[in-house]
Amino acid sequence: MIGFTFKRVLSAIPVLIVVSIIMFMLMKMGPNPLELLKQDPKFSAEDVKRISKLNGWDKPLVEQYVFWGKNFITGDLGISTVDQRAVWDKISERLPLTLMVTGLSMVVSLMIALPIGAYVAIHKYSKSDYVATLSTFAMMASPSFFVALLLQLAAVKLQDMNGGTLWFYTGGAPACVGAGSDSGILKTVGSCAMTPIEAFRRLALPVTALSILQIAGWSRYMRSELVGVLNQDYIRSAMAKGLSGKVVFFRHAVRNALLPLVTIVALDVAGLFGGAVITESVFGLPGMGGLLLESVKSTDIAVVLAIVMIGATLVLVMTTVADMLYGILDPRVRVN
Amino acid sequence: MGPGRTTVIERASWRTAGRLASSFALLIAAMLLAAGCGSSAQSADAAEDAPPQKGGNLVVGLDQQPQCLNVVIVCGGMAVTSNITGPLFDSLLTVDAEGQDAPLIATEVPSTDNGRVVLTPEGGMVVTLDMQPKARWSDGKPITCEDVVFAWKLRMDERWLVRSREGYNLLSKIDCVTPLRPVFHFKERYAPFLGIVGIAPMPKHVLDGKDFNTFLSDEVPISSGPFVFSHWDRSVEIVLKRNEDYWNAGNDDEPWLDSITFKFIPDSNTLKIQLRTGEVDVIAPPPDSSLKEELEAMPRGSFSSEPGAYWEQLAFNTGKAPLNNRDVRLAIAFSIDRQQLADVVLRKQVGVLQSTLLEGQKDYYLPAWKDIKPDPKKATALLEKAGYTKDGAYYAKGGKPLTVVFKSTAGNNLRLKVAQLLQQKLKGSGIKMEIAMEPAEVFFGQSTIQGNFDIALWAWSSTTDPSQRTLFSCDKIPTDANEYEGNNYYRYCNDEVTKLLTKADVTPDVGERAAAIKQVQQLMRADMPMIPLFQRPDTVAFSNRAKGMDVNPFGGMTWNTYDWSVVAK
Amino acid sequence: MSAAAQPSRGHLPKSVRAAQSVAGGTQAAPVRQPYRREIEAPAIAAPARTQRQQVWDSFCSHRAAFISLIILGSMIFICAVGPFVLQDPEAIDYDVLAAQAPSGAHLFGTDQLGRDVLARLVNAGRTSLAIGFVVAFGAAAIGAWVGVMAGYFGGRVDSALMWLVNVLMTIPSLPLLMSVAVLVASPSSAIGPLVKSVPEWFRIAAVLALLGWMGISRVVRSQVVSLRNQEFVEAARALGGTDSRIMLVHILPNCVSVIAVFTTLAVSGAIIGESALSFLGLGVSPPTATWGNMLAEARDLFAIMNYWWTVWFPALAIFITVLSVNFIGDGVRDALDPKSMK
Repeated sequence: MIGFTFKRVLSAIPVLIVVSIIMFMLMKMGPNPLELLKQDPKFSAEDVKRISKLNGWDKPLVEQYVFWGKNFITGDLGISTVDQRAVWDKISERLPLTLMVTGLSMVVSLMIALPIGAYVAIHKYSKSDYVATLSTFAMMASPSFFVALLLQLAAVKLQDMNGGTLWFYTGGAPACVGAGSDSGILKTVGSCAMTPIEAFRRLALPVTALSILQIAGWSRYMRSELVGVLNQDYIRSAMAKGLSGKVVFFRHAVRNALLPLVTIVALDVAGLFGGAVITESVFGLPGMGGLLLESVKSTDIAVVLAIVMIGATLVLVMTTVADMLYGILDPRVRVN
Repeated sequence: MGPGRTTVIERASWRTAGRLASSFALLIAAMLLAAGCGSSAQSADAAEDAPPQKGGNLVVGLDQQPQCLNVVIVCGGMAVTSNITGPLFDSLLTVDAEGQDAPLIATEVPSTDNGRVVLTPEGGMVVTLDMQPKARWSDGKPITCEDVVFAWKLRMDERWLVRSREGYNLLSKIDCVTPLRPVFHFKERYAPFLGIVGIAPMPKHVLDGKDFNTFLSDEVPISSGPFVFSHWDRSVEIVLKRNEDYWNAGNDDEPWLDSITFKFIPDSNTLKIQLRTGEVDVIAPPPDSSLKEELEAMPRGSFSSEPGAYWEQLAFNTGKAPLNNRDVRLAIAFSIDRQQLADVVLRKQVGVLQSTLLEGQKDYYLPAWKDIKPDPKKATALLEKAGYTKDGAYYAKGGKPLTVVFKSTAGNNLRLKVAQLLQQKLKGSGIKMEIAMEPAEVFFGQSTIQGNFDIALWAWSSTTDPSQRTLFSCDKIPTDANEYEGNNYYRYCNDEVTKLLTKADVTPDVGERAAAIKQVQQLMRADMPMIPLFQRPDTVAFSNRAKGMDVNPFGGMTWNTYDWSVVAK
Repeated sequence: MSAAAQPSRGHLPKSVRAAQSVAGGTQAAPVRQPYRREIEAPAIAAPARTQRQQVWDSFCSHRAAFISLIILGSMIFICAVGPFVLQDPEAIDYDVLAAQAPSGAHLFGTDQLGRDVLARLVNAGRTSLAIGFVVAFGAAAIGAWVGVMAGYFGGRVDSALMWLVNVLMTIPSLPLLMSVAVLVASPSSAIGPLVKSVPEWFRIAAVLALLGWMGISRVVRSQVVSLRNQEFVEAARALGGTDSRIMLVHILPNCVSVIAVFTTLAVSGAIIGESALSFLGLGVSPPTATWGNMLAEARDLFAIMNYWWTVWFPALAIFITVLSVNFIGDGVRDALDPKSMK
């Protein structure tokens, strides 16, 4: 197992290097941030030169990349070229909210999607299967910003029906995440747990919006996995042996169907870090997605690279973890 | 010499209580987020007549967040920064509800008439101000001439990332004749001097020896305005509290509010929803065709709207064919229906603008474009005079149809609508118009500067000062040779206009200056390098528990937070 | 269980990622891994009409898929023919100049400029559907080509190509998509001037396709690996077939089922993806209409409460199209999957 992990780490290094080079080049080819500065009539030619030098943009590309790489390895993510703040500060103040929203929606979706998927797998081709299929497909067919608008509309209508009492906030972060960069993720979650009602009223709409898509995908997946497993010979033999349907279903079928989900969920966990750009923007949540969008649009290389590199590392880590888990859960697969 | 480069954003800066603005106003990157302002409240609150009540908190929803809180340095250039920090810094001069210059810490607005502006025989000028003795910082220390000098020196210090020194660099010194009487010595005659001498004093006793690039970035430890800084939860909110010791508190001991919360919601559609649900109390929604109806239909709220400081205009590129021909420009001017544009695009929220100056700039305003009305016959005659003949649907010369390229910024619905209406109208006149909507950084960063358009649509933003030399003077055409200085993207060159604009910039006397500027308007109406369309409406919408919001085109959304209050329930 | 089941299982999740990455990582319709049985049934030189007939019958028996095919077909037909029949989509009705409820003159009403919503929808549909199909076929073509090359040649070619796929899939999809979209959208970027003459919708389609082929390439590769040493391939080789001929004539047709399923789902992913990009301001910019930018533009609480037709019709267009495409994908999979044949 240690050997396996070591090998994985070794093979991850070149991948990460190439990922960083690709993103670095993409960003460098992107719109020149100096052009953005020039829009402002107050910037003189000297100002532009000075700022370019300050950010090291006047050096050769290779040098810039090596400079960035050296710092990155030592844990220095650099300085944002937009507001001169440390990149890590910008990320860490956004991360708690993003993790809370995406994490919650993941838990909610799994709790809803798995039972639905399992139910319709047993009742294949029944009415409920068709209804579930239709509704999951319908969820997939709705652009997320439109879903978000409908949820806001619902909240507004609900308020009107309640005579002006608003149940669900249509936007804004809960007060408990506002403590800025000095509060850690745990502290944030802790303080939100202290004010669960406010947090719930704030996060209900965005978490629902995010969950809708995930429920659709996962319940479909669960269904097809379980259908596949239920068709297997060993289920039939288990039944033939006289085991009760429940035992066979939960101990054999569901367990085996869940195995591949491990990998998917693991990768989705890695994806949590990046946030959800559309949902965050509609509901006014200052999360990672918004930071990413701002940074990409203003060609803030240090921030984008940091997000990409952390994201890519998480993907690699979670794949490894998933493979190891898989080995533990499925005796047929041995990690070597 | 007059102002070199324009400084629009600058003015939008420490203002609220001070149009620090330097010369004029052109915010190039005139985004939709022009802050609100205004003065024709449409509210019909029952509580309207009741005296405001002390206490309470109002939530202001903003779709942008400042990058830092220091409006003097580069990161503080956004309009939102000045809206938030405005209530923290009173300046020597301010703008009143009518958008006119008014004294704040100073005792009166200096002019040649009241003897506070004296022209020196050497070609410079001296401006003397007196400061109110009661003015003091939130920590109780008096605001003195030293703080004024300090504020100027901060801007001139090479170490700090100051956004603009425009105008400030024309001062040779500021003398403190008495602790309350600063005397500004200008090296040259500088007509837009009010923006310079109206500076917001900076607290020398707090800032001296500090790193000005970072010290005011995250928090503002002191205030001279009606509110003091409380805290900033990045990306969530900034909270200001009442300045309990405000020097300018009136008889009723204003400001009324205990605190103001600025909440950041990046989606302007969601902001409107939040106003409706009562999650925010005040918003400054971007102009939109249906905004008025939308706000009128909104339960539990009212709004105030008025033509703002940003004015949209149709620019003609006089530097290249086909619009280097004045007759073609005039033909286009007579083809379009500006009344209809304003009516349709903004649903009659504003009227047609007839000048490159705004009505609020009272002394200088002249509606020179008033006689430009749709007149297809005139347009046809002008095109024929220019040597074009009708060839099928379009006019043509030498076998080539008369085609113009229209450019503007992508992602702006109002401009897109103008473009589409325009296209149809020009088609009716036999002119083919191609629409190219570009990302803002390309449009402002390349197309306009390099003159890569025939017709373009963007907005300038005006301040109380009428200087427009950088827009229309021959030497302000951006070229390689002058390192792309100036904003005369029209490539417009009329020596008479240049002479008058230059004169206007060095004539502090209002009457003389106004005469020159009015003459420029008439010359430009004849040459038609551009055609003004309309002022974008500035709107502030507020819930029925909020009171006292008033749009002020030159003041910004928070210019009168002093008067804001919560309606008693 | 047999050891042979392992590789196929191990690849399962990846095929799911395939669908995800095309949909911009948000919309995932799970693609089931092709089953070994199907792979082992070698379909040498298209065994007559009967099989095709069988597949078609099977597809038609999937009622939802069949109805969806009809709906999608009519959509495409309307969008193809509509612009010749309906009024100019950009024509402004000067008598109205305001949003007007659906009526005889304007079946779907007019938008706030007085433009006919139906005419714009039909016109937008051309662009949206074009993006959908270009992305789907583009991504499928690249993915299939890479997969076949890697699987057929094996060895270094295989490891190099699959390593590349691995690297590309490691990059979080959202930042990658956004930065490339900004890259091609902005004329001030390095490649901006190069792609300036390419129509904007095609640029966006190209971006989505270029970032969406990795998943299918893995699935195709794993199929090809198992096909490469089968007797019929050996036979073709012995008969002097060149590599390219073998790949094209003998191997590719055996991968058709996975590619077909992928392609269908990619159409819906691309349409949704374009709407998301439009929302972010990175999609096709008006006045060229797409369903995505019409919806993004109309998205407004006031509009949905007062001018519902300006919001709901674009939303419905996307909804119905994507829904039909997904059902068709479902049907195609069932039809091509021998396991589900009764």
